Amino acid sequence: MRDIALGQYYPANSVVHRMDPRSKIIIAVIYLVGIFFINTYTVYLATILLLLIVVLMSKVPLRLVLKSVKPMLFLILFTAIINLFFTAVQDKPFVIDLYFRKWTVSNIIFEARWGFLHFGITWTGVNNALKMALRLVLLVMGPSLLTLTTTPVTLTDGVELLMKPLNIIRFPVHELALIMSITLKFIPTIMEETDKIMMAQRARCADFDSGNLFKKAKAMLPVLIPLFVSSLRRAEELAYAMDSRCYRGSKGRTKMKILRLKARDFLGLLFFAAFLFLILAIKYNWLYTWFSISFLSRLV
Amino acid sequence: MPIIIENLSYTYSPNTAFSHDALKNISLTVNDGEYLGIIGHTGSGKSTFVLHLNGLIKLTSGKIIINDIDLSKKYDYKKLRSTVGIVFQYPEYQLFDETVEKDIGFGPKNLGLSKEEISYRVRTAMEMVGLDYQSIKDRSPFELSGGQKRRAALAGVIAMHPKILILDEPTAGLDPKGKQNILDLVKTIKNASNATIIMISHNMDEINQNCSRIAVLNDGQLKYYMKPEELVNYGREVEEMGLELPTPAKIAQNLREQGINLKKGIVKQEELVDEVIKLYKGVQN
Repeated sequence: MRDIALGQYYPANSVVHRMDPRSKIIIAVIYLVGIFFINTYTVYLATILLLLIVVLMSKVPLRLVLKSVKPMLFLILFTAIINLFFTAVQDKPFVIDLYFRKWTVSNIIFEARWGFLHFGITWTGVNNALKMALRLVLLVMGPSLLTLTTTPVTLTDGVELLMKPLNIIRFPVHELALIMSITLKFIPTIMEETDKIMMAQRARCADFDSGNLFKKAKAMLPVLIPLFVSSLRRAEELAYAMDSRCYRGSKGRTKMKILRLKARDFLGLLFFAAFLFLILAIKYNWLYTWFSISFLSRLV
Repeated sequence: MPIIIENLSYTYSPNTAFSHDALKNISLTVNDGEYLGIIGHTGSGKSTFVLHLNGLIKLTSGKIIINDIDLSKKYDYKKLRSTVGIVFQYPEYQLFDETVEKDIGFGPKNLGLSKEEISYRVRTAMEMVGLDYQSIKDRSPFELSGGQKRRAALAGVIAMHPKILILDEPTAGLDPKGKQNILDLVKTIKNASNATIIMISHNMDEINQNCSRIAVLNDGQLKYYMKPEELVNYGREVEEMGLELPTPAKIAQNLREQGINLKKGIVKQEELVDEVIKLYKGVQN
């Protein structure tokens, strides 16, 4: 229950921690978009290296960042296995593309036929499985580094400021940010409460672990209902507490910490923009096209 | 059959930066029918200790034998949990079912008892905690008052007919009258079922009222395990742990410091009153 790393801040004094949450969020978005456009293993390797460097810079133990993958491990393995075994078996040559070099190999590694069933493992399958797994792992690790190096409060501040332009169309930015920060702040509390209630029901011989999925879901009712009841009670208490301290929404509300972008923020943003550009350039062969065009134009 | 605990230790998140020794080498034996009080301030390991007795925390080092069930070997969870009932702090937060009757019947139902037996147990448990069966059984547990909720939750554990009943700060958050009611109720349960009672508290007066022995936990260690009248001899040490002596013992201590010659080992209120009256009469004569 306590293994979920999301929303768990790891305090340390590092450049990554000190960065403005806005630039960190934008960098995270750039990174996530970039991952979807990676198409060769060379770039995957470069991205992993980049991530490792950022982890080193952040002084967060690598173990903690890796731990964030743990809850997703089943999903990752599941998609990888599906990709491995259920890619259509086709006997056309497979190209291993490392951008600067290419090899062509025969596609089928293993093949079997039983009547109508045609089953096989192909290089295409291995390739798909590996890329999918890499992509998922990278997708999970990046944002978890963001939450590990940024406190929920700062993170919400960043989101609020980034979304401020939406105020023009009367979108309740501040309220949304508040909802987000309350949610993040109460995750540990509610986890603890879940633990307690589960223990109390276990003491009354409740069985959460056996039976089929339907039975298990039903067995969770004695935990979920008290959890909802206490969450509602807690929400009410929190509302009273905020009311009694004269909270009245975003209007005229000032910030205690005013965020300012510094040189490191611009440097980071610039670097990741270049990173995204490079990935896109490699994916769509821009470099090749441009070089050949300039080369040709010189010839003419 | 008694509870035997030998060299029980427990560490939270071992081998990490957050590792924390919650229990250190605890050994004690609780006799049948005993009313044991466990006292210690927040973080002393009281709750971790009792969670072990119910198998809710897996035994990692040491030995626990309860009613011939050896917790260090493979054992039947249901059997253990029907032997040892545990009432958690703020037990009213565990209520969940549509009606009070169903909620109290949750434990017995999980034990696989027959419908008649469940219904009988629910009725008797409700009567014991002072909830009127006919008028309350079909109400939602969430409609009850605070005190009634706690009684209903208590009934939910009693209905499992535990031979050992553990209560983790059963009076927390109640007004003085409600506190006394719960303490009286625990006594009634004890007299009716002759169960072994283990009560956690950080209020010495509550424990002093009924307990036959007191275990003092501090920083995961068992500091004292003795009768209340013996414990008062360690008044200073107990107070250094941030705990208070029972009020009668404190008064007796103050009187002694004023030069009044009271006998040692006074813990109960009646005892103190008797002694003072005796002395007063002696002075008058």
